[in-house]
Amino acid sequence: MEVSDFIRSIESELREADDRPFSESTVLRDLPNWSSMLALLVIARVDELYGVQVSAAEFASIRTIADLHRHVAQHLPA
Amino acid sequence: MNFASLRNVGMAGLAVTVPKRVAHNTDCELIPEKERGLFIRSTGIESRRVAAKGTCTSDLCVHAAQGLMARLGWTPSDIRIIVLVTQTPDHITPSTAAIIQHRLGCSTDCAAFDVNLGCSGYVYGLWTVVSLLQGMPHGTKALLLAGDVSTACISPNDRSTVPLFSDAGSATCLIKDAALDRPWDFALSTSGAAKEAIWIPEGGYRSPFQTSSLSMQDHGNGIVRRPIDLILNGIDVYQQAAQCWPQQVTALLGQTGIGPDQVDHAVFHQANRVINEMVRKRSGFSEVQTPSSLKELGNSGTASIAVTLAHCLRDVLKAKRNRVLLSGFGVGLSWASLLADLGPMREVLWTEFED
Repeated sequence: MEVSDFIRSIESELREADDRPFSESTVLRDLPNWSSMLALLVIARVDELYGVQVSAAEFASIRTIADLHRHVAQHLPA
Repeated sequence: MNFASLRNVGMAGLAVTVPKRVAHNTDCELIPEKERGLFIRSTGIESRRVAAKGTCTSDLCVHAAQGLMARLGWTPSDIRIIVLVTQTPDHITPSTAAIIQHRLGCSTDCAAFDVNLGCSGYVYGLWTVVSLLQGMPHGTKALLLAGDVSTACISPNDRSTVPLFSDAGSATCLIKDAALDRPWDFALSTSGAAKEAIWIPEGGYRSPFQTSSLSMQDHGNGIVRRPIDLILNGIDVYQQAAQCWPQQVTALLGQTGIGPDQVDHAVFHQANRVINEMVRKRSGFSEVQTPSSLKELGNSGTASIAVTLAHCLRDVLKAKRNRVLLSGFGVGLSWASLLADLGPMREVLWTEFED
């Protein structure tokens, strides 16, 4: 899965955090409207779309969209 | 899975009491104004009921119980079992159920005790009382009370909890009836390994209360709380629930041979829109089947399933028999599901408590 496809799939949740374009280097916690509720929305969306779970401890070490994409790609169900 | 199947008990009536005072998340100063719309959209919670300082769980549950028993023509001396499920007892000891036994004017020929559970607690409470009634004579009357003053156990400065919780109390009248043959089918689960997903660290005996327990600490992200305040790790709760909760519902339906389309109403503990939509979809229920009280009442804690029954299903519960799935997931972590026929009930009451 390309990171651009991944961004498109979670874009509706990320849009709540910022109107500007996202890239794989976007730092999630630096987004203007970032909140713990948005984090939950993104995690739920990732779970719904890809069947991949992200624990609170794992999310704490995820900084950028690329980090999140990498986690999802590494944990896709067989 | 852990199943139980019981019979010979009827639900005569249900009452819910909420504080009169309403708080609106459009006015919640803990959330930056520009983010309040998103918060309301993503949680589904617009308003909450907030008890006055000093109003306790017993106040709300006694109010509900007295109103319900009066309407049913039950006298307090008839009650043989009182079980209160709560996270916010009036005192650490004695049990609040004993205090309620006295306040209601019940006879001393009454078993009364508390069950320390929250979001799964209404279902666990029903399992407890229905199980206890198995060994009691035909006609035995019992009260299941479920409620919390959740706003009293959260930090007033915690953005992750204040906008979510409502206070509420409920009373459910149950009666042993040898002629009632329809089953109450339960599934019951626990994971203490995940205890820190929802907990209060200090104030018990593992980490006793001390002066520093009152010290407000800034944990970032708008979370400012004391060690005696509730901690709610939303991501951990979601992940645990995603792995366990809909699976339990599906297993219970499989065990009973009932498909989701054969259930009239699926009433889940009201946590927030994200987690509630997850469990609804993965359990196979439509939006029409799944009532919600989140918008007006938020997360009403231990009482939330009773709150949703009374708020959303009052008329159908009084009018006819309904095949109902009740299911809760929360503190423990603990989760429980029930498939039962409820109704027609003589009374389903909704009252407000002026404090």
